[in-house]
Amino acid sequence: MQIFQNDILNENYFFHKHSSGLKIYLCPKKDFQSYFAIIGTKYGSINRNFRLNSQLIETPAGIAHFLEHKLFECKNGDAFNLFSKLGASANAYTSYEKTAYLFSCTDNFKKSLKILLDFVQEPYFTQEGVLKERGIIEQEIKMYSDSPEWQVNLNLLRAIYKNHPVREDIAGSVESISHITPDLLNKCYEAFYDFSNMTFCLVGNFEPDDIIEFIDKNITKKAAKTNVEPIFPNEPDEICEPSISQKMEVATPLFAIGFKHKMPNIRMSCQEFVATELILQTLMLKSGSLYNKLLNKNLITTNSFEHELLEGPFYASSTFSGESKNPDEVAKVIFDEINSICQKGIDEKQFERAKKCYYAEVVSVFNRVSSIGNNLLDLDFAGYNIFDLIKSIQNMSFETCSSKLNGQFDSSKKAFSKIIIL
Amino acid sequence: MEKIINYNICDGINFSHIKTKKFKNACIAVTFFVPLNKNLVSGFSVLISVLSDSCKKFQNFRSLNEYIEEIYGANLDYDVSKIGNYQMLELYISALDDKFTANHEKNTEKIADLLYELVFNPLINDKKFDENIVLKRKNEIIELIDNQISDKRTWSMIRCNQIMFENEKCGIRKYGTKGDVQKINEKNLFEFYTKLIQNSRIKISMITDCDCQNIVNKFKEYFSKINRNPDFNFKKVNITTPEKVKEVKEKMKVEQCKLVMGFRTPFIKPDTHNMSLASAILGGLPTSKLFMNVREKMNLCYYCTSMLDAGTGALYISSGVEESNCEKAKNEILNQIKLMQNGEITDDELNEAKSFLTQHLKSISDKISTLYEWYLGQYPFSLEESPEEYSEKIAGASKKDIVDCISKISLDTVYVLTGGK
Repeated sequence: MQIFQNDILNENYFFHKHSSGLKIYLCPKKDFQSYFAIIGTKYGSINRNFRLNSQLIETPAGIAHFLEHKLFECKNGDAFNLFSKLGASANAYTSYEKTAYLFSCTDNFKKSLKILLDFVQEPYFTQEGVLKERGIIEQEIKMYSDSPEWQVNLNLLRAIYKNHPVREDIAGSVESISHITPDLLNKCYEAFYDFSNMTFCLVGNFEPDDIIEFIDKNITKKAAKTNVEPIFPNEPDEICEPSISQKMEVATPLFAIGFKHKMPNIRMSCQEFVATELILQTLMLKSGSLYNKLLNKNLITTNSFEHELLEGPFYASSTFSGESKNPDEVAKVIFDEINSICQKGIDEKQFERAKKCYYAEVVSVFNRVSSIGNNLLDLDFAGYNIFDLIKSIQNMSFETCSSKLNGQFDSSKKAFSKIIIL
Repeated sequence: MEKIINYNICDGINFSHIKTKKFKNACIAVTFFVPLNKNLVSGFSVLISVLSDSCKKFQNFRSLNEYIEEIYGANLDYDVSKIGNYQMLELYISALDDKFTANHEKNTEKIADLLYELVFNPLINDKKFDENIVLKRKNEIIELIDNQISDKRTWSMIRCNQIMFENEKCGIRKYGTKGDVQKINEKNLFEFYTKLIQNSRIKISMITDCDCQNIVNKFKEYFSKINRNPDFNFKKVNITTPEKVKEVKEKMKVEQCKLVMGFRTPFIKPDTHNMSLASAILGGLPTSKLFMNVREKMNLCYYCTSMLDAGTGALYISSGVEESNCEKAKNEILNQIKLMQNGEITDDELNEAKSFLTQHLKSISDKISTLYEWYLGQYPFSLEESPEEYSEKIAGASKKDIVDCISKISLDTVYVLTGGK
């Protein structure tokens, strides 16, 4: 077991790779009464096509999410109910690049942990179950299609990406999920739910050695000898279309703007991520000129403008989104401001302030057991860890960051999505 | 374990220091409580937003935020909410605690100082606020009013609350109306400010490991200069039973129909223990009756949950369903309630709900936001009950207690938001 430590924050965590291939992160928090456990697989909505033992498998949009719903079903009932019987809160989610199952509780945590480890090892897909789930997921898809925030971001990704499956809705469509069968779910499970593709994180008041022993006892699934090769379609450097507009029942229109980045490797390195994020944070400072221009022109309000560095396997873009009475004017102000900053460079004082904000944001992760657990998992999939991230923020120089500025905002690779009033 | 240290600042003002080592952040918040009044809610909403914008020391949003970023991107925000018959207006600042900053800067004192500046030294000249700032913040409140419509799940809850308590204070919408926001100007906003500082009841909360005595002394000094006259005492919402069920259907362009059923109950803080258990059994857990039947067995919806508003005693059941299944879902919800009233509650259901709520209560002290909200929410009820004490009361509840509770609920309003296909 390896230990990672940060003395200033007075935090540490342990790492262990189990013989099954499962990566285990354990973060003891003696003062907390809550436990948070999460197990994730590097399998999300973008893993559509793959080779399983050299056989090409093509799957419909939404299958990873469908599998997430169905994995909760066990031979002896629904795992959700088993957690609930113990008073634990369980949940699961599917994102573009991963599927994760989690629970939090204060009592009986080993019993809950056993349930979590058990059901991810025991898939149980029946025709009847698949049909039943279809109805529930159809309602979920409809709920999201009524959400303007969801739609504006989905449309942005459709504008930016031509082929990459990140342009598809995570849950798929009512049509696409009608093609999902128990057999297809089994193939996906076999390909992506091997422990060598999975990571487990636990946060709370426990002894690490005791947990390793417990996990060891409860892992019964043998390491698979399958050979899985994820396939991603070729994505050109260019964007797909410059803008998408949709009408919905909203009070204020919504906008989302994105710049597509080149992805020479599957993921960004920690340093690349920090530099890119810091440029965005500098640009988005509430004391900065972009924010204040938009505010003074009454184009945004103080709580309606955000940024995100959206990054995952073979995709990355810097995005700005929010609500505005005049999305077109917002887009113009943002593009002008970015042009001007690309010409004159970022301000060093602003950069230093953005660094403080970013540092504080990451340190605040340690306020909650759930945010610690989620971050350990996310960063493991990204290929680094939270202490690396903190160090990288502290050590990031103004020069390094400045040198990346022009590559981040290529005006030929910008896209714009808006939701306007019906 | 956290320690609660209470200080009395002056008449109607309490300062709570929640001392704990758990967190990397420290936070301070001031919350003003005023009676809900439809002529005043909009003005107070604009005011709290204006106070968060700038002050004499930092005369514009830009310079204020430059300072906030210097102290490690402290988070400064305001919030408007309702509790029972009262409007709550909060100013909230959180920042990295001193020992986690690069040079052990006195961040905790800095955020407290900033809060005094915002509250006591706002940008007022000749009894007038700054015209442009007021205009900007009016627009912001108007946008918040507009946006309540965008999230249909929240909007259907707001509409149900409004219809249910149509002629009562607690049915007044928290930001009021766009028309009332428009009436606010830099001059009359000063009157709102005077009223807020002089007549409201105030709770100041601070979560930090650092000592707060100096901060408390400063607040005492500031408030001693003000002619305080809190002009109301906290009173609970009147408990009534509906004469007939109000059924309201509204149309919007939505894919999924929203069904909200509002029930009146006599269970208002501090008497919510057993009713919160009953609500959990009915629709609060993934094994709850509504989830198991309306969603799992009948596949009528994606969500179907119940929630008790401890300030008004209203129990809301909310669901997202296909238009054609709406009536079916409503009938099944009523059927499940009836079964509970007839005593159909298993020991497992009761124990699971107890275990779930107990664990939820234990975890309250593990998060800054829940810890802060727990003690804040007790203030208008003159309560000082820790989550552990609440938990002990729940542990004692019997099946009979739950049946008694659920038998006292009465349907008041059925609200349906439909796509009208």
